[in-house]
Parts: sequence; structure tokens; C-alpha cells
Amino acid sequence: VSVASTALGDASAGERAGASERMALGRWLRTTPGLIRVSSLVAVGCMAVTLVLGATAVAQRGEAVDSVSTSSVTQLATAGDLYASLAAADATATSALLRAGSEPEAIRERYLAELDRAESLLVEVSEGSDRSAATQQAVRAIETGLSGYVARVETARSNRRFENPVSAAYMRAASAQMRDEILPAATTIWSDAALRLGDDYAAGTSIAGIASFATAGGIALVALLGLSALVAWRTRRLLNVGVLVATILLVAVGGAALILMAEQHEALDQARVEGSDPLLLVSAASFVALQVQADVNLALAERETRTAYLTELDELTARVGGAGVQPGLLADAREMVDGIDEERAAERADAARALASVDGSFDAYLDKAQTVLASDEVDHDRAVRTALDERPGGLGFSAAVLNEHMDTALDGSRERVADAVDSTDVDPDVVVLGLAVALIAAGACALLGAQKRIGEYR
Amino acid sequence: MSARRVTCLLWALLVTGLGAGCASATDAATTRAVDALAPVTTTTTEAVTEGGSGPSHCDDPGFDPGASFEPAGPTPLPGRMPEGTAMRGIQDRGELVVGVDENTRYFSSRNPDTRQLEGFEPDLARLIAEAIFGPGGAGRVRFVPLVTSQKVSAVKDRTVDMTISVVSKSCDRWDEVDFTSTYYVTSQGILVPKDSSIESVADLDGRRVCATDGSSSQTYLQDNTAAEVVAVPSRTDCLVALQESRVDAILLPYSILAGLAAQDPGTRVLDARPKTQSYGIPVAKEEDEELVMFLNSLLERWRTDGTLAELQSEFPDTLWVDPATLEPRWRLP
Repeated sequence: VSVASTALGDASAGERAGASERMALGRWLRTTPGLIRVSSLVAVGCMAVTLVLGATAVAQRGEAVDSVSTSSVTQLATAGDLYASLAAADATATSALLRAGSEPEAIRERYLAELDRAESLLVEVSEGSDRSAATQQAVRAIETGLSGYVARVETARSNRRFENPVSAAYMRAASAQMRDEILPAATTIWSDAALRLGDDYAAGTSIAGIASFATAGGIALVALLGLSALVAWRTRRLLNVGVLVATILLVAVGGAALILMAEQHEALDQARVEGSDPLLLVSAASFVALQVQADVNLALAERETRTAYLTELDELTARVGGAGVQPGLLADAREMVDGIDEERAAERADAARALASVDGSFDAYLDKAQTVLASDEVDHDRAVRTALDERPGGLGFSAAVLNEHMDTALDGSRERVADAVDSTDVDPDVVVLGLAVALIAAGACALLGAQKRIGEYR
Repeated sequence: MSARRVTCLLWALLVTGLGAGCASATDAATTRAVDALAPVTTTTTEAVTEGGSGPSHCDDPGFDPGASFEPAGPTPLPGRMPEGTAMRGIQDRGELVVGVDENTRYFSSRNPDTRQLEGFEPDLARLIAEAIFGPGGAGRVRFVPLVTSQKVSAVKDRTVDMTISVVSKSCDRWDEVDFTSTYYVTSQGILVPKDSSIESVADLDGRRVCATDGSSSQTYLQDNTAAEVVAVPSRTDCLVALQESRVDAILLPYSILAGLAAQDPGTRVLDARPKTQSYGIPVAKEEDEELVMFLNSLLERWRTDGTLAELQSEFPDTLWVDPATLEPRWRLP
């Protein structure tokens, strides 16, 4: 009983001591020094939060801008070049199938060059540090598929030398493998790069960071103004230099950071709307146009199964040029180019001209292709000669012009992305450092200003 | 500073948390571009074989698919086809449209080196054209490449005037088209890699066996074996499948297999020859009976004067068929 009584006695003594401390703290908080101290700490805390949120937002945006300019767009271009090389290799191989006599050396070299380029681009993609699982799987699918494809093309070539009809079947099988396995895998890599670019834009233009920073900065400003008012009210002294300097620093640095973020936002928006989005659409149009060219070659070379190629040709043509009221990829790209800011009228005119050239050369190619396919019904040899003719008037020439115009439009879009991104030439690290120095200085000023008044009460 | 930026700044100053109002362009372009690269789904329209309103020739136990219509009267002279006949229509049109294969060595194939059609059947088509148009008529043939599944339907829907492409005369095909007398006979055969253990039709059970889609070989496999049938559009596709070990054997007429075997010394044709079949030229039904009779008169002349034998001059010995064995059997239209 005695031990229990002693324990109870200790507990109640402890409680009494705690209550006494809380009462003392409450009394101190109601004093002027206590109020000023707490208010100054709240203001400094708000500035610290503002600093963290601001630095994070600026750094995230900076990373996004950096990623767009140095990584995402490059990866997208690499993936696009990979697709184009594979499709061009197949289009060249199928055109060789159309030719009588031994395969011209130039055609063989073009095929091998496209293949070499595709293989080195594949290595570049596979060595990328931030590959997704889908991209890794697609790279493996292309590696596997490409070796089978090359083997089939070579078997077709050797059978052709022996005048074996199975040559055409091997080429057909190779082309089917390219279209059904390899190009879809290349599409996956390209889509993945396009989505990553989209993620970078989303991160760089997210309003959450800027809004959090602005809100925290606003609260910090209110806290400083409150501190200033409290000091003036309790000490009857209107001017507190430390708090005033802190307030000015907060407003100046916060405003500058907001403007920088807005500039980054606008630069990324501009890069996306005026460069990347048209780039995506024109890239897709160029891939589809290469498939269209392969279809025309195969419809001429593989006449027994030409119906399937012609059906696909119609569908692909509609995807690029539109069908009825449904706009095609080129129309969508034109619409985006029309939206380029009035301030950049010259760039808009260049982009519109490049797209008009693509549009015109695509129509010219299709007209020529339709003529060739129609003449194939009557005179196969003549149709094949026209298809392979790379002089003006030949389908080969129309294809070369189309591909050249596609490349020009793609280069223009890439340049617009680079120009827009480069327009934000402020180093985010410097901004973060400046923000940190200024807000730490502001916090110190606020504390010093408050301390001076507290000191007067001692 | 643009109006958009000012709006964004004001918005940022007023709103906390996740915002969406000033978010930049959507992912619409990405989605649009990726969608445009989706594989095209082509719906292959298979030739519809109509059952016909009348009874099938296959229901008639006495029906002889090898027999055709006996020529009536003398053969019209070249360039002077009788008025109102299908031959006159062809002559007036100025071209003979013939469906052919492009991949069957010896019979009809496009030489990969010259891009020209070569073989027994294009030569036969050129002879028929000369018989219709007269001298120089050989150049008036328009060849339309067809896969096996199109060889009867293209005649039926009059895409071509006739098909000359190792088309076997069967009772079910007689329901769709008319046939000329026989210009070649062969049997089904089996092609395997040289080291294969397959030696007979019975060995095909449970194996992957290639045949062309819509062919009599495919029907034979389905009706007589428990093989896993791999149907492909073109005959040479079967050789590719065999060389790539995707199938264990090919079952096709020997006339085709001999051409495939000639392209791959690593294969052999088995001695087993399951079913004999005779080839004729399919022509659209009823109103073109005169064309069938005209062609029969030509074939009978060429059989007896050595022309059919001459057309086989490029054949290896194993493919050669003595025209004397092709004596026609006649039936009423």
C-alpha cells in the first residue's frame, strides 16, 4: 500500500509540474515577446516551405525542359529513324523483286545501307539508359525478327540467281515478317518515345508545382505582413527594417521565380504545339507513306495476292490523306501549324509550305501509283518499268520527291522544338540557388528584425 | 508576356493543388499518331461457292468429271469467229484474258530473272490466242495471276475468259464451271525433306502438312488423313514452309511437286501417289458452251498432231505424259 501510495504521489507531482509549465508557456505566449517570436517563426517556416516548393518546381521544370531538348526528342528521332530505315530497307528489297535481270548494285547497296543504319540505330535504342520494359521487349523482337528477315531476303536472292520461282515466295514471306512483326515492334519503340516526350511536357507544364509555390509564397507574405502589423501594434513602432527587407525579398524573388516558371511553361507549350505535335503527325505520315510505297511494289510484284495489298493501300492512304470528312494525318498537322503564334509568322509560313509540299507530293505519288496499277492490268512490263523509273515522270521519282519532302517537314518540326526550348536560356540551378539565398536571407532578416524588438523588452 | 502566360500566372496564384485548366496541349497528337500506325486489318473476301439451286454433279454416281462437250462441226478459222459466240466476243475485244499461276515451275511461272511468264500453260494460252485472232495473236493474251482459291471463282465471275493453271476437274467444280477435255493427267504426291521418316499417306497422320488454300489437295488431306493441314495462298509458300521446318510435308499434285523438288535438292517426292486427277480448262457455264467445244476441238487437234507433246518438251521425264493417253471422253452439255 505504501509503495502504491508513493507511486501515485510521484505521478500527481509530475502532472502538476507539467501543468505548471504549460501555464507558464501560455502566459509567455500572451506576452509581446512571445507573440512576436512565434509569429516570426511561423513566417520563417512559411518561407522555408516556399523555398522547398519553389526549388522543387523550378528543378522539375528545368529537368523537363532539359529532357525534352536533350533526351526525349532525340529518342523520338532515333526511334523514327529506326522505323524509317526498316521500312526503306523493305521497300528497296521489294523493288529489287520487280526488276528483271540481275539486281543492280546500287539497289543492293541501298538495301544494305538501310539495314546497317537500322542495326546501328537499334544498338543506340538498346543502349538507352531509361528504356521501358515495352521498349526492351520490342528491341529483342526486332533483333530476332531482323535476322530471320535478312535470311529470307538472302534466300530469295540466291533462288533468284537459279531462276527459282520460290524466290518470290521468300521475298513475300520476308516482307510479311517485316510488316507483321518487325515494324509493329519499331512502332512500339517509337510510341514509347512519344509517350515519354508527352510525360516530359506534362511534368514541365504541370500547374500543380507553380500553384503550390504561389500559395506557399502567398501564405508566407501574409505571415510577414502579420508579423509586421503585430510588431507595429505592440511596440508602437511602425517601421521594422528586418521584416520589411524580408517582405521585399520574398515578393521580388517569388515573382521572379513565377515569371521564370511561366516562361518555361510557355516554352514547353510552344515546343509541343508548334514542333512536337506536328513532328509526331508528320513522322507517322512518313511511316505510313513508306508502307504505301511497299504496298504498291508488292501489288506489282505479287500479283496473285495483289487484292490484299490494294485493300491495305486504300486504308493507309486514307490515314495519311484523309477519307471523306475524316481528316488525315497531314490535315491534322496543317491545323497545328496554322495555330503557330502570329509573332512567328515566318516560321508558320515555312512550316505550312513544307506541309503543302508533302501534301502535293503525296497526291502526285498516289496519282502516279494509281496510273501504274491501272496500266498493270493491261501491260505488266510497262507498269513495272514506270514503277521503277527514277527519272521525272516515273513512280520511283515521285517516291523520292515525297520522301525528300517528308524529311524536310520533319527537320523543320525538329528545329521548331529546339528553338522553342532554347528560348528559355535561364539556368534552373542558378534560379534555385538564387531562390535559396534570397529566401534564407529573407528569413534571417525577419528573425533579426523580430529579435531586435524582443530584445528591447529585456 | 502572352495572355496565356498571364492567365496561367493568375490561375497559379489563385488556386492550390492539382490544376487542369492551364495544362498544356493534350496527348491528342500522340494518340492520333500511334493509332495511325496500327496494323491494317484486311478482311479477305473468300470466293463464295454457291451450292446452286439444282442437284450437284457429285450426287450423280454415273457422272464422269473427266468428260467434256464434243465439238460440233468444223473448228472456226483464226480471226473468223462466228457471230454471237463467246469466241467472237473475245476476238472483238482484241484480247484473251487468261488466269494463270506465276509460281509453278514447268507449268507456269514468272522467271525471276526476265520477269516473263514461262511454261506449258502460258504457251498453251498463246496457242489458243493465235487460234482466235490469227497470226500474231499470241501477243494478245492478258495474263491475270491468280491463287488457287481464285481459279474457279475468277472464271465464274468473268474476271477471266478461262483459267489455265493445273485445275483438276472434279464434280463439285463442274457445279460451278464447265471444263474442256483433259490436257494433262497427274496424281497427288507428297514432298518431304530427304531425311524424313514419312513414306506414305498413313505417315501424315498427326504431322503438319502443307497444301494450297481451296485446292483439291487440301480437301484430300481433310477427308483422308488426320494430318494438321497448313493452308497457304501460293504453291511456293509450301516450299518456304517446308524449308523453314514449319511443316513436315507438302501434299500437292505431282505436276506441282516436281517443280518444287527441282528448286530444292534437299527434298524428295515419295513414290506413294494417292489420287489421280485430270486437268482441264474451266470456262464460265452455259452461255460459253461454244467456247468449251471450240477449245475441245483445238485440244483434240493438238493432241493428235504432236503439239501437246511439243509443249511438254521442257518437262523432266517424270512429268511427261503421253498425249495418246489423253483421249477425250464426251458428254452432253
